[in-house]
Amino acid sequence: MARERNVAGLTCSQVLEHLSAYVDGELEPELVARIERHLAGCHWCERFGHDFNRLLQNFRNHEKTAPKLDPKVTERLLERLASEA
Amino acid sequence: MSNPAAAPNDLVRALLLEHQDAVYRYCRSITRSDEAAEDVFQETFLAVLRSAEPSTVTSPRAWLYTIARHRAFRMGRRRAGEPEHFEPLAELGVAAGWGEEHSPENSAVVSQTRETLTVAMNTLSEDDREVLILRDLEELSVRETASVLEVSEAAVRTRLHRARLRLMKQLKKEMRHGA
Repeated sequence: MARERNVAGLTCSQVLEHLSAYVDGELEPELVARIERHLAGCHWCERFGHDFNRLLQNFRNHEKTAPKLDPKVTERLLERLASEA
Repeated sequence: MSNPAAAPNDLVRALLLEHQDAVYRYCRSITRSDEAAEDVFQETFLAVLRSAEPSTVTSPRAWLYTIARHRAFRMGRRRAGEPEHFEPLAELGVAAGWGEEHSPENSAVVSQTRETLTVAMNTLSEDDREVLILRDLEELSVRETASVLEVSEAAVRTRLHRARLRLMKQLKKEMRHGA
């Protein structure tokens, strides 16, 4: 990023590196606090983090509506399982 | 044909009835075809029937995905995606919109329809698709995902982050082309 900043002892690149672990809640509390201080003081990272998180939520929700299994496939498989048992 | 080491049929039936939608969805995701997904799905549960393991596995769903993945490979049903190439993380971030001012394009990227997301997913490499499917759609833990993909937990975390950024990058590209 052309306008790399150092806010709360973290550079924008370091925030980018930790972004998935941050949104997944996998980071130590001390690092979470530093990232949040960085986000509060850096609107580029705050906006990108916000968009990144929204995209993930949208992706998870949309894909949950994927086509389901045809019950006939299960019926056929149960028949095969019965014949092979 | 009877197998002396076969799992009890009622246990396989219970696994099937509890996990059928999730396993089918996974098969559909890795094969990208209804017909191939059905073949892999059936072969997965037939393999379970012939296995001696079901009563000892700690994460049945991750175990079923592992079998499905192996069956898809063996049946030649796992489709190849675009070859993956290494990009520095900062470069990938910039392509995904990191460091940009807010714009209508960025707002549109995060609120895409399922069809657009599916198209974007289909442009990703198999490695990217698999980690996104297992972690973000099927919600397996990092440990379970590492077990299915047969890689380290650190590799799962790295792959997942890059895959999410590539998905975002791809959506931005589609927005520009569609604009």
